[in-house]
Amino acid sequence: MTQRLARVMVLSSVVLGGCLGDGASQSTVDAGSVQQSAQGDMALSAADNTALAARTVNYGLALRTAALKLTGDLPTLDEQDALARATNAQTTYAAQIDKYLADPRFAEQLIAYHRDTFRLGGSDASETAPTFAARVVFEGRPYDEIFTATDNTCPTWDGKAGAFVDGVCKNNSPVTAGVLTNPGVQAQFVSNMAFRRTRWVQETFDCRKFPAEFSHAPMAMGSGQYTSPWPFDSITGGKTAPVDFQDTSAVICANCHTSMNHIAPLFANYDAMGMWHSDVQVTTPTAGLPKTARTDWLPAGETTAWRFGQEVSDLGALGKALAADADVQGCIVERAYNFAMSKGDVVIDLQTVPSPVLAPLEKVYADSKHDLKATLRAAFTSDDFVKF
Amino acid sequence: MCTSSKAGSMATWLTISLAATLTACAGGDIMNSKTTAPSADDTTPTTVVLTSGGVSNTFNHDDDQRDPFELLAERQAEGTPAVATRMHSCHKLSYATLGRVLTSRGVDLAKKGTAGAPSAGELYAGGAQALGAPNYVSRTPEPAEATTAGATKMMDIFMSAAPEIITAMPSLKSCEIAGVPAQMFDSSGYCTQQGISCLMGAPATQQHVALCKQLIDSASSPEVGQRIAVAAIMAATHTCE
Repeated sequence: MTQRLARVMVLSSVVLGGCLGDGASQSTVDAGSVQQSAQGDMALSAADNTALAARTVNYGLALRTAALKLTGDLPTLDEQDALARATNAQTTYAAQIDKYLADPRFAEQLIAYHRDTFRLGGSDASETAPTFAARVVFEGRPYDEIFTATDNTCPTWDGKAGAFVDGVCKNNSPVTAGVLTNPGVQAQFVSNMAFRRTRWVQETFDCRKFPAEFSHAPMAMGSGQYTSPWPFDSITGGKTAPVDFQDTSAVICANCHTSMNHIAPLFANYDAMGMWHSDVQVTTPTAGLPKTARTDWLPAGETTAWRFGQEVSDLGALGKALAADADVQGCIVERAYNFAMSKGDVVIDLQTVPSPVLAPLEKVYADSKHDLKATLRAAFTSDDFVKF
Repeated sequence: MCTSSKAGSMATWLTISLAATLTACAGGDIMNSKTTAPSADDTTPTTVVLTSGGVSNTFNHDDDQRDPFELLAERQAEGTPAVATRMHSCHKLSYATLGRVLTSRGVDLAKKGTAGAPSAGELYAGGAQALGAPNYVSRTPEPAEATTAGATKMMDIFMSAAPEIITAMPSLKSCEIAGVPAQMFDSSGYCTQQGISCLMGAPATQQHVALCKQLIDSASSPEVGQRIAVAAIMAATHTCE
């Protein structure tokens, strides 16, 4: 709760101090909403308890929605009948969930899930990242491998055989780090200065947009507040810089770019086709679109990092940092929960889940050594899932 | 110093508020606009909506987020996060899932239409956009919510598919119990409980059977009524996952 209140305070100061005039009254509403939400997380009201208590267990409906998500089809009449006749519906239902989780159709659903999560797919090249992530889950491997695996990270799916086929990514990447070095990912999210690739990592695996980092002591600066924990001059800026990331005249660019500029150079050597080169391939959006120089992102001597104080020298190190990040682990579980409960996207639709609701699944994820399949099983057999 | 740990729904409000702040503070410098200028986040100058900077300050950025106040209103309408998140939402059937459901219930998606009327398969194939199929080329995942156009298209598909489903049901493995096939209609021409359960993927009740009877009785002919009943049951049930 301390961290939450700290964020509310940071938010309030950012919102209320960030602008004057028309924005101020609107922002006051936001701050109130945050406080209301924080209170809502702490305890349930009588109305909340009544609403939750009004639900009843319905394994028949639960089986239908579980089958649609885990197999992409309705349960058969035989499966429905077995559940209806069961002396112990809970056990029979759980056994059927286990069958679904072992069904090759579940692998296909996992590929689809990761297509939507990663926002790519459809072509041969762009299918390998979702397929690799799906394979990790389907085979019960630690989900961290989507960031850290060094081999067979470009598998394919043989629909007729119902099996994954090994595949090595052939994009000359000097290190292999799960989906982070995947050529399809690099191609899909190509942009100037590799910022779109950076944003993809942030939103996909940390479940929120930039800014990603917040200081306990925001500072008044320009027309707003500087809220990042990074030193303000840790990124390139000034009138002579190609892009002035220290600009404060409209918004405080550095609130996001202190994080972004320390990550983006790690993705800079992949071209628009996702092939790695020994030199930088991305461009700086200035006249002539020159190839980006390291000093366009960071001043001389500044190193790349996942977060403030977490230096990473290459994508392999970034993968390890992501795997170890508690926020990333929470994001993975949050996405899995939303998948089970038919929610929208945690970033696009802001379908965030309060920590107390997510805690039981986070424990399963931790206890199972980051086995997302086990976590999904827990979600699909949970008390909330079988109640309507 | 850094407080980057996530705080559940707090992130929602944080994101909303920050987005609102950025929008509110933008004034004349950062407005939604179309541009063909190079973007710091985009190498493909097209009709993508971007935020444009002023003459000498910010560069353009992708502006692909939904209106934060619209999102806020949606989340507030759902109730408190601690309760709303513990209840199932109404996620539309994915485009691919709809195709599998049709196939497993006896619809041949490759079948051609007759007499100028498109088949269910043709409606399905041609309705991808209305049904909310993902568009990964533009980095757009499949949306969670159905649209009016999507729901209408789905009803059209089920209406067109109904005769195929009725005919196929006695031979469908997915509609057997212990090797005995289900029938959609009994000897009186009314829905059977098993038939409805097969359509819905969940146990039907006597109320479903009674509703089906009502639909058939109120139609211009039994055949039309049966078709409407099958389509209506499927459209209503499969509005959500």
